[in-house]
Amino acid sequence: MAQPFRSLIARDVRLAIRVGGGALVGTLFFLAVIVTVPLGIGPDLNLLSRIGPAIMWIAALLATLIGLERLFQSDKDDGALDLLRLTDAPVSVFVIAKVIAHWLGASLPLVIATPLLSLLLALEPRAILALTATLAVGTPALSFLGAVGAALAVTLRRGALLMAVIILPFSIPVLIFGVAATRAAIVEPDPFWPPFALLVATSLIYAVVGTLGAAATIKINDG
Amino acid sequence: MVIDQHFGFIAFSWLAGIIGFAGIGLWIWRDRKALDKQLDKLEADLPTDASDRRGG
Amino acid sequence: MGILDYANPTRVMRFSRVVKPWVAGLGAVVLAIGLYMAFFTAPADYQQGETIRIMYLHVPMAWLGMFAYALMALSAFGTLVFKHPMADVSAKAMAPIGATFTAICLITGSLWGKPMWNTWWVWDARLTSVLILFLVYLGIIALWQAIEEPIKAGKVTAIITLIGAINLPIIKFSVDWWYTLHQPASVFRLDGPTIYPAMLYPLLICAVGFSLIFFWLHLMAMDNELKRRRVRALQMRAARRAAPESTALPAGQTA
Repeated sequence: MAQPFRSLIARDVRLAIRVGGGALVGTLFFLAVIVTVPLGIGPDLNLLSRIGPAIMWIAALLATLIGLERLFQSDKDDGALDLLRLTDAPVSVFVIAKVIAHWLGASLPLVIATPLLSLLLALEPRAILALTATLAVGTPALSFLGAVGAALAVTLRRGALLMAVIILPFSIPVLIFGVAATRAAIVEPDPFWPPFALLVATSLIYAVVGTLGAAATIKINDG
Repeated sequence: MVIDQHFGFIAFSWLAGIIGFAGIGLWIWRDRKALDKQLDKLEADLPTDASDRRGG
Repeated sequence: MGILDYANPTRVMRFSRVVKPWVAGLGAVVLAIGLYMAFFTAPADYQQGETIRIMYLHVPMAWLGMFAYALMALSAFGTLVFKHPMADVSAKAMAPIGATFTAICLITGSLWGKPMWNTWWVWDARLTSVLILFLVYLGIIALWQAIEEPIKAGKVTAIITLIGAINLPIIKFSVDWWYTLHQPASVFRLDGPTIYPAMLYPLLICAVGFSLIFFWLHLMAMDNELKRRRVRALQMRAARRAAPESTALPAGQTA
């Protein structure tokens, strides 16, 4: 099973990072938000560096969720989902492969771009490090969560906006922990490790629950 | 109970409770009325023979 | 015997018809007693004064909002694992009621917070997690509305309901795990309640009264849902009668 797993990931990553593949849309959206927010707030660098982590986390959240809805769409369109339902192949493994591929293609560029974009928001080096670390650890949570939304989008006939609405409440803890950990790097007495550990825990829990939920949703017939 | 300066907050809280209960109760009630009306109409239109049954 | 007997809609509706008046009547009486005690026999609080009267609404609503979700999650489990036919009817009926209670909890909490904490809202762990509960309720209600076919709707909402159930222990323990502005647990504690008995008893009586009313509302909502499904089935039959050639299956196949 390892070989099909790896080749599915490889294929999806390659498809996604091609132009029009949709992976870099998230990163471009991320960039767009980070460029426009300072223009809206004004040039106060102090203010920007204080709320910078929050802005970047929110931008990362939205960017990730936007890209995830179409996670399973191409497989539904070419019939791969139907084949999957008909065979005994474990749908959870398929889900994990798709999510990993999506993370590699969409969220990883975002995390890599973070240090550079943080300079636009005048963040200090410690904050940049904390932000990058929390994003690296927290975006998997969002990806697995988004997989459930994507599975819903593909199983139901309408209401893609509805998927975002349903998934959003569950992304709140990820946001809270991510920003709390990052802020701890800036504000001295705040501890970094507790919220960071909670973020890791959330990612692990969402990895399990998201995979099972997405797989269960895909297996509901009459899509 | 004494009427003190926070009376407004207490009153509005309980008002919110009353409105909430009345709201959900009313919604369920109106739903029930509409469904009863639909059911009466549909059941009156049912044929007296079994011509529309297909053994399932 | 037992729960499987209620796999039959007719049985459910018959049970409901018998039980409803008693539940409503008993609920009204118990609630009346509880409210009387809450306002007239219970003392004002040493620190909060008369504002404590809000507690007799806010706390039962919080308990019922969470309890309704727990029952919904149980029904979701029944749908997915045991495929109990009435489980999704119960779950669908529960959602708007639970959402309403949670909303009342949030609103009364806010109105209580302003005089006590001098703020309408604070993003502490308890309030945030209850708000998330409310949003998840709304999402589940939206999902029920969005899916036309009842069986499929039941399965999809069951999955989302179970995912959201993670929130319940978080709400309960939020005041223990984090520093919150919201006060710590004073009733459901391992060491027993810390609340003054003259306030505890009216609180519990109000909670029982509200719970009976909740039960009554749920029974009525379940009846409605069963009627809704019968309407749908009859409408489909009427459509088949109206145009048998277009809706008939190929020879030899049944629905």
